[in-house]
Amino acid sequence: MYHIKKEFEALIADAKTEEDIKQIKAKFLGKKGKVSELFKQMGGLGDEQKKEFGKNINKLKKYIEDSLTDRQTQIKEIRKKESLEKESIDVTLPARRGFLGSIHPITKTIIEIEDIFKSMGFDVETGYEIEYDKYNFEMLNIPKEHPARDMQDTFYINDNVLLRTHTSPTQIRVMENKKPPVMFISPGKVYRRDSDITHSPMFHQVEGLLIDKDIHFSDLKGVLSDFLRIFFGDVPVRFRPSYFPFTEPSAEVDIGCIICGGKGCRVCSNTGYLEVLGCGMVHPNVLKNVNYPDEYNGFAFGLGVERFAMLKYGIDNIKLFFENDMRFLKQFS
Amino acid sequence: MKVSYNWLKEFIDIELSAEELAEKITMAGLEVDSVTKTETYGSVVGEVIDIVEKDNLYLTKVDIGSEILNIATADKNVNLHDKFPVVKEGTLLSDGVKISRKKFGDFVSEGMMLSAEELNLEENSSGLLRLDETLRNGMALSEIDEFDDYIIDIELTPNRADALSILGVARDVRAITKKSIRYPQMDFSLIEKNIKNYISVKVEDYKNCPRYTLLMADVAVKPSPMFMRLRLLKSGIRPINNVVDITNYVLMALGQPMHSFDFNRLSGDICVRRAKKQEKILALDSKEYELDESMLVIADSKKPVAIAGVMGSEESSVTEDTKTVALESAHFNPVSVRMTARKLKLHSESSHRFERGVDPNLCLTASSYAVSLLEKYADAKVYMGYIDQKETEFKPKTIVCSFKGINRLLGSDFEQKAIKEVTEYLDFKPKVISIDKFKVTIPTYRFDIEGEADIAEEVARCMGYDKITPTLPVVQTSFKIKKPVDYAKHQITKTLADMGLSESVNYSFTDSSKLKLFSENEDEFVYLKNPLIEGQDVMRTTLVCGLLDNLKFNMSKNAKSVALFEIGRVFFKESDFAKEFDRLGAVMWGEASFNWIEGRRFYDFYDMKSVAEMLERLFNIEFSYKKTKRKFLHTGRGADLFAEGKDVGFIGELHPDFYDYYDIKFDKNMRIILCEIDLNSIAEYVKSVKMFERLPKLPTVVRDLAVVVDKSVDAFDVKRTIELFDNVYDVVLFDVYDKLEDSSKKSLAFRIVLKNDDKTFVDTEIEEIMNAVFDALSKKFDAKLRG
Repeated sequence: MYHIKKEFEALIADAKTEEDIKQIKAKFLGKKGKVSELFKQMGGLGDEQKKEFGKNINKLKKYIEDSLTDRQTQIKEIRKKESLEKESIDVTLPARRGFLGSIHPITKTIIEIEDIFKSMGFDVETGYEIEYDKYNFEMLNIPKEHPARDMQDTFYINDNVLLRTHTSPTQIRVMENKKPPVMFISPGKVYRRDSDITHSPMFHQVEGLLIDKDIHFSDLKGVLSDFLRIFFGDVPVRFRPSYFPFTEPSAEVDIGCIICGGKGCRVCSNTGYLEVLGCGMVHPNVLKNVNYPDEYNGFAFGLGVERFAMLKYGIDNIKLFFENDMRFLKQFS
Repeated sequence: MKVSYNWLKEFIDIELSAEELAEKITMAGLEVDSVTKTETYGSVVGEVIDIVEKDNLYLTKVDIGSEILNIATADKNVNLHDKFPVVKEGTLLSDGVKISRKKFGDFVSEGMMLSAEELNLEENSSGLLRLDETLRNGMALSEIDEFDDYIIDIELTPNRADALSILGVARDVRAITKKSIRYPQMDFSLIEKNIKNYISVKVEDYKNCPRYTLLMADVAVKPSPMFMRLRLLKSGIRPINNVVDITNYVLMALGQPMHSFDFNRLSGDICVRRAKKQEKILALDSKEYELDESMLVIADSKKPVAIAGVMGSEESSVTEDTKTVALESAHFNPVSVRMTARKLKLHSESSHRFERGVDPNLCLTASSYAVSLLEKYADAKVYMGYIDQKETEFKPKTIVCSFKGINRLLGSDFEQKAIKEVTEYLDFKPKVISIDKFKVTIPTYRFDIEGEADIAEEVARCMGYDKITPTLPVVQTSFKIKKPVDYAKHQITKTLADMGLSESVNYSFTDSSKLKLFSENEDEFVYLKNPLIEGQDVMRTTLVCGLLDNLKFNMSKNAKSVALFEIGRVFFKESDFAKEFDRLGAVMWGEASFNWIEGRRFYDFYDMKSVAEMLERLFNIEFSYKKTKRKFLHTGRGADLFAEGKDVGFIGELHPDFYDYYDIKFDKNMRIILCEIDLNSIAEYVKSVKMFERLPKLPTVVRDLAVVVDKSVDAFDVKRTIELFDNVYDVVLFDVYDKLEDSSKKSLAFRIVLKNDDKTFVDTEIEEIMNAVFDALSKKFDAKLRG
């Protein structure tokens, strides 16, 4: 009996297919199998011995049956595994659908700016890119011979029509058509007759205007500080007196240099600060020009989108925005 | 404007370092661009004690106290006992030049004498920088005040004309630091001669010349003292001679432009008048200018001797031979000076200030200061009396302000006392007139102050903008309903980027010669009057030009696949003004795919058509695609798009003839596909909300149908005919085959999904429907079943 068990164990360890299992089963448990043979040997034994011997044979039979089933399951598992293994693919190959398109960094920046101001309750308005001198300058408190016109070199269509030099005419356009309060931003293209390493004859601005009763310079500080901290992260923001003909008081806003962290570097000309936008309380003359009642006032601001995009993405040449090199554009998926 | 820190300190005590001061005044509204320390490179005072001329070179011995150096120089004006800044060999100058030993025959030059240029005091020096003879040989230049200085470069906003002088900056420093101003000494003595016996002045145009003053003095013209030359150099003004330098010095110190005439070169009396037509003047810059009647001139009895407020004439100017000067100190109308300077394209320190506004009450103070300096440095004998032509007095204006009003505008909580104090230090002479009101008197040099808002700004900038605590406004506003185009632009952008196109942004102006290729109606072009360059002379009427430029650019960068889109404005002339429309444009060229799954495939018409179909879905509209009539498209591979019967754009291949214009070789595998769609017109047809469609209640049945039709039949019409059947739920065109035996035919295969909401289909019913469908197709398109 011991030999039979040993023989079985040797065979089953070697079994690799279901056919092997079948043969082993026949060899040991078949009608003429080794276990049946053992039963036959039982005839010549006494009762006690017979009982003992029979018990042992059954034990052996059970052991063989169980082992066969186990082995069979094992073989099935291995098979399944093998067949899946055969179907394996290279999971490092790139996906079928390539994400190849991209959104221009200027648009990305405008969308981001719009989203922030929309969440504060600002509307989005659009203006005209070809404007009357009246809207671009005169109504904004910049008469014909004002020295401030030197700050903005202008493309003219004719004596009274020009390419807007800033998005500010939208202020007038909106206020002429809407009673206060108004609260909007207006992104768009603007044009100045100037082209060098840091200037492009066309660039983008976002204008902002908020007019209501009892608006303070402190509100301007609050709104713009929050906006800048959301856009650039937690940076110091400072307001510095400046001059625009259509605001009074006026301010330029600096943020702590995001390149060097305020220590001073080439980008911030070693000042530790970057000038990012201009703003101020809307000049009383401008409100008078659109016939807004005296009790209304408010603030306006304007920012350069290219500058924001350059700082945000570390772009060092304004020309890159308008060359539309695919290798540049595709970095902004 | 460049301001010498030392000079400024003569006007007011400053306890701050130059950098600290720069920070302070920047935060008060005078933006400092840079602070530069003067550099002397360790140079010392050297006296020339021997000169030998050899081959246009001057071989000198120079005493620098501790030793005597051999130095060669090319400056002809070097005389015995002249003193110059000297550096020894081994010194490194800022431009990277290292002074080295140089041999000239037997003479070994052991150092160098410096010019103002080498000390970074001016851009181009014509000779060496002459030092005062009283300076001790060997003394380090850095020990001399004028060489141990900082130059503060201030970028002034145009409203702050009052700060265009050392005094003006000092006034702002006073407002911040609350120290007091020290005015320079201005005393002088007079001689017996009286100006009234020598000259008179007639002003014909008081509107443009509200005030004209003149003083006279006999003078000795020579170089001005070293301190004055250095201060002018540091201010960016080139020294000429003592008389001219003194007028420039007064201009920089007080802000009053002055002009000195050589009295003996004037013919008769002075008249301030308009120029005559085509009158000419040779100005101090040695250029001749032709004047017109809008311009104001200072003339003697014969001709103009100065363009008022802009520049004097060469013929009346002070030279080395001048014995007597007439000193002009006037006030001119800013607009007049500005117009004249712009017309003549002639800008000077003088016109820069007059354009922005000069204090009309400064004239005589400035000329007093000038003659006191002339007496000191030009041995001047000042004539008695002065000429002062004016029609009116120049009285300061007063403004009544409210403390509460100022705090309300600023959102601040400044005390009355603090506000009053700020205006006092600004010399606004505040007077409280009621509980909340005070009156300020605005000095005549402050042209920018008009009302309470301006006073509020003055208070805020002097207190510091950082003293105002940020708040958030509460606004009662209603939101407007947006036009579909407004909100859809970003959505189109995002979707197209997802579809694999990259967004580009192009200039709105383009080349009119290129634009003409794509536009039939030149009358509608909006031309720029003053384009920057020739190739940007007209506003675009299509986005295609820019996109093709982008394609060309990328091809030059070896791109193999280009798919770009742009959303932007196009412009059309409308009488004197313009109409603007939002357009979507796109270009595709090259590899549509180049990867391990699909292999290589090139962009074709149908890639571009997905852009149009995306818009149909996004806006819930339907385009009809008709064979194109646009000349720049391939006649067989282009479609004009119509929405509700209106032409709204196109998609198609660029006409093969047009490749030449862009210098691109035509390759039949790599076609250029274009698209442009007018977003404004689409917006008009947008159907509001697409309503929900009930799902089939019972199981649907799927059948395929392949028909053979003539090649000229549009697949769309066949599909639409099937779709119109009641029981048809969905139709998919899944195969087009055009290589049949009969080459005039093509086969179209459709998968048709049928539904029936009443009861489950039985086979005969399905057959009936399919037969009816086929019958309709054969009637309408002469369709045959594909065998």
